[in-house]
Amino acid sequence: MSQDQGNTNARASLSYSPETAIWDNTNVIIPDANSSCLPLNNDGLSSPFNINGNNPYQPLEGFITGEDDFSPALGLIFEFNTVDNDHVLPYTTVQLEGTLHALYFGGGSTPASDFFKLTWVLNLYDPATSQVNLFPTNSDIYINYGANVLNPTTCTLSYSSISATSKKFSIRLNKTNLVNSDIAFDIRYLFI
Amino acid sequence: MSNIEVQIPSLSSVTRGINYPANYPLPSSDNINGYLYNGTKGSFIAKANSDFSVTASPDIFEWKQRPDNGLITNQEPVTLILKVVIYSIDNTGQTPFNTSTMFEVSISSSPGQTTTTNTIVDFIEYTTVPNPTSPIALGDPISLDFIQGLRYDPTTKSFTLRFVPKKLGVKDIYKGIYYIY
Repeated sequence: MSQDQGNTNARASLSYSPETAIWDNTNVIIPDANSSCLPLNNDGLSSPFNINGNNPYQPLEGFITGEDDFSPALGLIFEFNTVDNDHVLPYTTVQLEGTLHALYFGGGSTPASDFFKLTWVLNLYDPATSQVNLFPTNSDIYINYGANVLNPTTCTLSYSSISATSKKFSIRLNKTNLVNSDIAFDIRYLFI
Repeated sequence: MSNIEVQIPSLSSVTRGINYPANYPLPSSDNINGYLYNGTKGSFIAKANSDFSVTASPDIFEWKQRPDNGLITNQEPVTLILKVVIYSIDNTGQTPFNTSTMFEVSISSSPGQTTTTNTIVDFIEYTTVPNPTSPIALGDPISLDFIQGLRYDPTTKSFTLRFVPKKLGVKDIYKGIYYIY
């Protein structure tokens, strides 16, 4: 919903695009075509948030939970179908925040966990331009128990322009070499 | 096996109250219960041209609570956290826009507060260096003054976000997620 606040220079709306997923190691996360997070095909120059022909994606927040061997890494793939390269503002910020639980070597198999946050801010002014293997703009491990599970500085994000109408974010989360088990994860993801 | 569950969101209005879906009674020593109002979250998106002045800027968002009685033991949400990405766009062409910048900003008050609060309690900026091939060079992508633009009014129990641009000559799109509790 958009609402003109009585000033032609300002428009605002509130909405929410929550998505939850259980990771089974085979799925690509693709928002439903009817989700309000994607620009509409019929968004023309007169759409409420259009500026010079650009229509933005709505912010998207979701949650993933699952277990994976992180061998060699946990891959998270998000694909977004879009209109074209000329009429959208792509997502330029990706944030992951969550917890990882595993066992590690040392004194037998001992519990370890991380509470972490990774943020990528992209210089993605042209949606048709792919960028690969970007390290986080910022990474934090707030709380660590036992041993480090995540190796944050080696995690990467790649943005691929598969076609004019399909864009893909591929994220690789790397574990430390201390980990001696599968890793259970609860991760909140945010695209803005 | 596919376990992906997609929830189609419902849209809410700008001025919708956040005392949903329920309020819960609080115990109190004098047997007069108050209510604990739920927090909430959502996304927002807005655009503004840069020709606002500080005094003429309208309130773009109002997160308004609707307490159903005046008990001082009511506990309404008094904290607002925004995760905001700002895009600045020039006036030519379709595709050019400056590098985005992400902010995490929060204000917080106390239930007994009687004056308007605009104190930033946390502020984090995530940014990359400006793209050298970007068609426009803004130097400073910070185009919103959160100190003047973000307020909590204890009388109306509402949070408001106002555009207070710091830079002229560009158009801005603001979008992000809000959390209130």
